[in-house]
Amino acid sequence: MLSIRNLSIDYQLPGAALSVLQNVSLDFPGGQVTALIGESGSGKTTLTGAILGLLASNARVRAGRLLWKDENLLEQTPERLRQFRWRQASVVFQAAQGAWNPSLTIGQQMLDTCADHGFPAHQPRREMLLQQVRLTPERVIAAYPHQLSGGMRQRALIAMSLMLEPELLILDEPTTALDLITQSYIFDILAEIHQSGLTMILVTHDLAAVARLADRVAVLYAGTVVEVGPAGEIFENPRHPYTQVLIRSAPDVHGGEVARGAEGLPPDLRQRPPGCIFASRCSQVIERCRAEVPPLKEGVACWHW
Amino acid sequence: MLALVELRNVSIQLGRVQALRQVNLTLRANEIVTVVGESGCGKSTLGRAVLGLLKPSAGQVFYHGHDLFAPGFRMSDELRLSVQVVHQDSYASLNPVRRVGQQLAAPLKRHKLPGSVPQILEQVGLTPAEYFAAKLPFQLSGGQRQRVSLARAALLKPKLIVADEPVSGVDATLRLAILDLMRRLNQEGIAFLYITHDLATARYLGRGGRMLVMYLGQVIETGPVEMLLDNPLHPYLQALLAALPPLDPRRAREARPLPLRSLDMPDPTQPPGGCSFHPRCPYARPRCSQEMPPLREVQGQQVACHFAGEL
Repeated sequence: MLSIRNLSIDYQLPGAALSVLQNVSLDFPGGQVTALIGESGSGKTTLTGAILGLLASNARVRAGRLLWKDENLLEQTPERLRQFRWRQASVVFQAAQGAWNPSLTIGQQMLDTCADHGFPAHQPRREMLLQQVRLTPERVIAAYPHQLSGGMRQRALIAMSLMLEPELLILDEPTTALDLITQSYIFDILAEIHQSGLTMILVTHDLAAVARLADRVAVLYAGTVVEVGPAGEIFENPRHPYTQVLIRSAPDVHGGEVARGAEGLPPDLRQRPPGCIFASRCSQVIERCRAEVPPLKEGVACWHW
Repeated sequence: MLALVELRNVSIQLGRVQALRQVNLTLRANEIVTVVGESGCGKSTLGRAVLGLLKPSAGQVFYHGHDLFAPGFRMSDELRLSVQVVHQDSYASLNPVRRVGQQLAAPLKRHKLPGSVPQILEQVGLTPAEYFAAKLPFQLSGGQRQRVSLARAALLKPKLIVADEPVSGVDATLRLAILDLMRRLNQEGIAFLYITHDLATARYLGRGGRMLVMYLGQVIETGPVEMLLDNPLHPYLQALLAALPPLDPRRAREARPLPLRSLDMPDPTQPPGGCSFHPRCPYARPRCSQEMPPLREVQGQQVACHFAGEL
């Protein structure tokens, strides 16, 4: 449904260019939940920004294509992208407070979204969606955002994101900063919505969210896809040394063994190292890693596989 | 031996919210005590009470046996410096325009204390020390900034560090190293009060120590970390643990209904009467809405539930 091909994006800074995405190729199959995981600075947000045509003004697409059913989104007009957002793709951001206009009721904003995009203002659909996210429509429609708890606002936002019947839903840290219990039922709601066949991209650093929801996982490190595959395999048998660190260094509430993290820092993206992007922190580094970039082959970009 | 800090029946009112309700806590030398709970449960207020920053509306706060808010009591510098803090947001808690070395040296100078900045930087793993001493906070990663925060707290040779969500803003692969550093500082003689919403890191850092679970300003269960997490007795702690998906896609994907009657937290300005948890509790009986359960000993843990152990 959505394919990214050899995408490279830089941010122009005074006197330098920051290479935030380097030669990224990824497929997002229809009807599946693909999780993008990685730490701060890994390029997750830039990648979703590119899909939605919402890149920062200093971003420059150096190369690549972003194919939505054979249409290269990188070549579309701002008007077409505006239509693409909401009608075909919608997004739920972290911390739903900022996504709402504080001076309009939730119900009004849901209808306004339809009107803005030339969609009939469908009140029964609004109520059906609010019920789907387990909110009481009568209570929420007339409420202003500040009258709802963080978890309720986030659920209302999920309902609003579905108003225009999108084909792709991007969830950018949808449960970060929410409580465990709230997180848990938002996972349940998203899993239920997913059953209707909606394609989802889940951007997160929370492995629990990934385990709960994702069919496939793509691991990003410093703007490069280092591993991609079915969620079960990534968790059970991570192959890339970075994925291994990421999965195995998560403390376990039941007291299971944890591995040490990776020492050191991600590389300076103003000047990418010549070889593997993880080489400077990798415990399994060999000479070749420092000299040649390993291609993403059979789901892993590592000279050991 | 006198406790480093003791809270005796402390209640704290913040605006219309009773942020702490009759909390007892004793912190002794060299221990690690963890406090867990969801946002709004009062865990950060508890931290601020331990720091002596909030005057209780009822109850007392003792440092080494001294009642901090007794009329006429003036705290000595030594006592004040014996308790330090590390915040969640390392960016906001460091001075953005002073070099790391300068901002670490400042409190030593001010309090005329001995102490070596290069040595403390090495102790928290920021080597070479002279390289990091010359950095400004924005030039460091979140993990490195949090090491600077720990260095600043440890530099004054405190007896206790209150660490409020110190690793929540740190990348996953670096988190463990910061927790290990706290364990090391603990072995060198610093007690920790670790405040977090994250049960997994609470178990990791707090292993072998005590844990307090808070709900709507009250401590509802306390005991050894491993016992609480392996055998939760309060229905609220049971629900919290059930809400945590296992880190295994095959098991995580089965929908598991939470043992809760209502998902949403009640309005904290009007906490429910009786047991605060009763409107959400799947086991609530008439007594629960009438009578507030005190903490009592059940199976080696302290639990505030009328029916703990029978559920």
